[in-house]
Amino acid sequence: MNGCETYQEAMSALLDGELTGPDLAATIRHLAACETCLQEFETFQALQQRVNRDLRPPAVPPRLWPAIAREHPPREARRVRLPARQTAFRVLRIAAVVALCFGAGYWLSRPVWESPAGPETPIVLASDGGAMSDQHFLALTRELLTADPVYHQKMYLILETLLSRYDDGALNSLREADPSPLITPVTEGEAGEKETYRF
Amino acid sequence: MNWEAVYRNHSPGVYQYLRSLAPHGREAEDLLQETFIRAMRSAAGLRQPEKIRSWLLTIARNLFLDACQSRSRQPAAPLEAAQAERAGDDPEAALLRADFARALEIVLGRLPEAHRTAFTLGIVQKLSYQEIAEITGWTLSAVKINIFRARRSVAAALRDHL
Repeated sequence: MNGCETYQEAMSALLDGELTGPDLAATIRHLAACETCLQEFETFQALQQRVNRDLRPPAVPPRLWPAIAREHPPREARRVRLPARQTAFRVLRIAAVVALCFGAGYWLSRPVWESPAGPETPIVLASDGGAMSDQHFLALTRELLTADPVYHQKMYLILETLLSRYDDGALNSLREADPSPLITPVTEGEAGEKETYRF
Repeated sequence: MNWEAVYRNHSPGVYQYLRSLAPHGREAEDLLQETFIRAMRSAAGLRQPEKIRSWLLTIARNLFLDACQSRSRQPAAPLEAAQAERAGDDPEAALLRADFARALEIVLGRLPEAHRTAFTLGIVQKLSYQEIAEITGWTLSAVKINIFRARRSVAAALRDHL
């Protein structure tokens, strides 16, 4: 019958379940009409049945898997790849810990100013009957002013307020003792917000 | 990915395909081993885990073709029967099965590689035409023709066994 070659390919696909729609219907009609093709189709069917019944995958030699596992140990178990967000978060955490360590180190190792009179010396002037001499007080104040230049103006005001109560000449003595630019007289205008300090 | 489980589930099918392509000695074993090593190394390339069988078969086929290219290869001639006897089989049935498997192996060994691939993947392992096309790079039409020709050749050669 004419066109058998076309239908033979189709009936092979029919056997594999790959034929649908009009092709399926046409192939079935052809098989019903063509004895030669039907015989071939039955041969194909018999072969498929024999393969299904009698052919099994060959046994894989058991020695292969240990050799494969040796060749390629499971890296996934050792190296877990983090998502990008987790990686960024981890970097931030490490940076924060490093910054904390540096900060703590700097804080602990910062230079600590010590009074020449000792850290526990009470600031009580001699004119008040205290243990600290005026000269010692001036030296201590000068140390404070030079140790902390950022606040020296405010310190100067404290000093001025304090000294004005006891000795008008003390400030001049301080100026003479330390003529550095840090120890400069503060006028009313320069002082700006002049504060009242009580001791 | 649990590669031991993947190997347990898929190595028989891949091995069967490789045996159809390379029935010589231990070549199929070497190729199977290399297939899984390569798969594990390039697991990131597997975008659809549900297609792992096709992916493994593709690697196996490419390795076989590479091996063929690296040496001038003669058509495979079957040297041994692939079929292992199953425990508890009726001896006569087992003999018939082994006889059929040996005969099939001989016939397949005489076919071109494309027909061996088409027969093993399409008729023995029953992969869809689409899967075979993905593994081999053939068109669907080529898959259909190769399976038909392989089927017709094997059926003609094994007529006495059917």
